[in-house]
Order: sequence, then C-alpha cells, then structure tokens
Amino acid sequence: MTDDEARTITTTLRENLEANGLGWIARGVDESLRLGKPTLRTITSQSGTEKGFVLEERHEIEMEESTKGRKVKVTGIVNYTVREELKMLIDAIDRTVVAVSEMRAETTAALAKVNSGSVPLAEVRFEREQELSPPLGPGEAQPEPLGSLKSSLAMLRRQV
Amino acid sequence: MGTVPTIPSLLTTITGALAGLPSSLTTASAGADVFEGYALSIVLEAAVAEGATVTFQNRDLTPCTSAIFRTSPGHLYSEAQNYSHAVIAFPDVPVLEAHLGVYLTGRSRLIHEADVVVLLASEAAQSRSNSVPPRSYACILTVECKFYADSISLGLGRGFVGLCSDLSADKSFFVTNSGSLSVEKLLTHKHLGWASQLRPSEAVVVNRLRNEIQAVFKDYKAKHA
Repeated sequence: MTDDEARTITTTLRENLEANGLGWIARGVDESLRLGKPTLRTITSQSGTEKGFVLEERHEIEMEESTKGRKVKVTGIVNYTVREELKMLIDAIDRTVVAVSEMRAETTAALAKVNSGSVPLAEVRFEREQELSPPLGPGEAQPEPLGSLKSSLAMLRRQV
Repeated sequence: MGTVPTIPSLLTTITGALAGLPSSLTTASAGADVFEGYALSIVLEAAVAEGATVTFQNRDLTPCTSAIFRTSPGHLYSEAQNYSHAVIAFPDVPVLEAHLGVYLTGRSRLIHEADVVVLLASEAAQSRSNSVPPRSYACILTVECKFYADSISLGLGRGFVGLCSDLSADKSFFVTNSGSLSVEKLLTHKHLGWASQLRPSEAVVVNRLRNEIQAVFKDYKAKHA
C-alpha cells in the first residue's frame, strides 16, 4: 500500500466515522497524532552540558572528562507516518465499536452464569443521567454487521 | 485458499457495517458504561472462581430480575432509582457487595468515585441506613475503568496514583480497553494493579486480571476466616 492509498483510505474512514456518530473515535486518534510518537534517540553530548548528570556518578572527575562526546539516549518526538495513522484508526475502531459489542455479549453471559440466585437475570441496563440504556439481555441480538466489520478491519490492517 | 478481498471492497464492507450500527454501540458514553459492566463481570467471575456464591439485589434488598447499574457517579444510598448490586458470599467470612459508580470517603474524608467497588456488606448497609458514603477502608477492591479510542494520557495514570493515595481499599486496579506505555510504567513503579487492552478478544489480559482479582478474594478470606 502506498502512502497516497493510505491517505485516501484514512480520509474515507474518517468521513464514515463522522457520518455515523463515531467522530469521537477519530478525535481520540487525533489527540495521539498531535502528541507525536515518542522515540528513543542517541545523541552525542557536548562538553559541560551534563554536569548535573555527572555529579551523581561516583568518579566525578573521570566521568566528567569521559562524557565529552559521549553518546547518550534521550526521548524525542517524531510525527506518525500516514500508514501508522491508518493503523491507529483501524485499531481504534476495533477496540471501541467491535470490542463494545463483544463486551456486551460477554457481560450478559457472565452475569447470568455467576448468578446463583433463584431468580434469573432477565436483562441488564445502565443508567446515565437518568436515561436508561437499551437492555443487555439473553435475547439481545448482536448486530449483523459486526462480524463483517471485525474481519474486514483485520484484513485491511494486514494490507497497510 | 480464498481470494484476498480488494481494498475498495473492504472499505465498502466497513462503511456498510458502520452505517448499520445501533446507537447503543456508537456513543463513547455507551461504550464506557458497557466497559464498567464488563469489569464488574470479571470481578464477579473471580469471586466465583474463589468459591463465592453471587446473587443480585436491588437498593431495596429485593432480588433482582432486571438489573439497573448506575454509570454516572452516585451515592450508594441513593433512592433516585432502585439500583442493583451483587452480593458476594464466601463461607464463614463477612458478606461482600459489589457496586458500580458509587462515591467513597477517602482518608482525607474527601469523596471519590469508584467505577467498580467491592466492600463489606455491613458497610453498605450502614451507608443505606444512614445516608452516608461508605468508607474506603471497608473496601477490599476498587477498579478504575478508562474507555478510550486511542492511547490514554499520562495524566489519567497520575490521577489514579493520587486517588490510591487517598483510598485505603485493600487493592485498586486501573483497567483500560486502550493502553499507554508511560501509564503502565508509572503504575508498575508505584506497585499498583493495572490491565491494558482489556477486552474479550485479549484472553491473556482478561485471564491475568481475573486471576489477580481472585488473589484479592483469597487474601480477604484468609484475613477474615
């Protein structure tokens, strides 16, 4: 996949997320893109720039002399590539939309299984700011598109 | 061997799938709610694995047929809704309760929210009868849940470290569907429990967390036997 193809796919996915009320997923990725990718870099220290560092060493004088031109590792920030951005977007869809559907099914099954009470749990709901969520229950149908979404994301990820 | 679908056909499938999702799967808050429920289910599975029996009750102590869990933080004693909780009973030790999204009092006497909490049933009963938040020292376990689309910020990890310094629960866990190396490093350095990439497809992560929580119940039984 070329960078141009990756850019086009990223744009298409972003537009689709926005159109379907899932813009928050893309914005979450944007936040990571803004912060950049931490990368360990090796730089050559210059004379006298590491005095504070050297003072913590036991052999102060020798170490101070030897630090001139010494290679040290520091954390730097680089921008994510276009393909990395696409991978991040695919992963974000996977860990939110796909994972939530799987969590609903797992939670429903687990709560029913652990319940040793005489009354079975018919459904599970969540209340947020006085609004009840749709029930998670044994009869809940898993949305048909999710299976194809999961496999399509996996295949797309392999091609990036 | 099957043909690998072309990128345009994959995009068409993804586009169609995203358009067909119910609203219960598209909002960030709905995802966060389900994630908390999922964390609760792992806690209860760990309790059962350690030999507990689990039942569900409502705020009025009636058995639950349709469980309602709060996800906006609230008081355990609130009567705004007949919220549900789980009752965890091990033989010969005090009974426990598990709640979602309730306030606790910390060492500083400030009030903090716990996404998932397991506490002594006697403390929960006292909270209900006196309309006071439970004290964190009566909690054996709290779980802080973070549901994010991408990497979580270090600030969330710092916030959890601060929270733990004021809570006196036996053990607290930070769990997220996402991850962050810096948060993992920080929490490991502080000897705090954490689980990243927590979701059903990550069986290793789920099993490891369940086992760690089971160990908390094991210690509780030993302490109170």
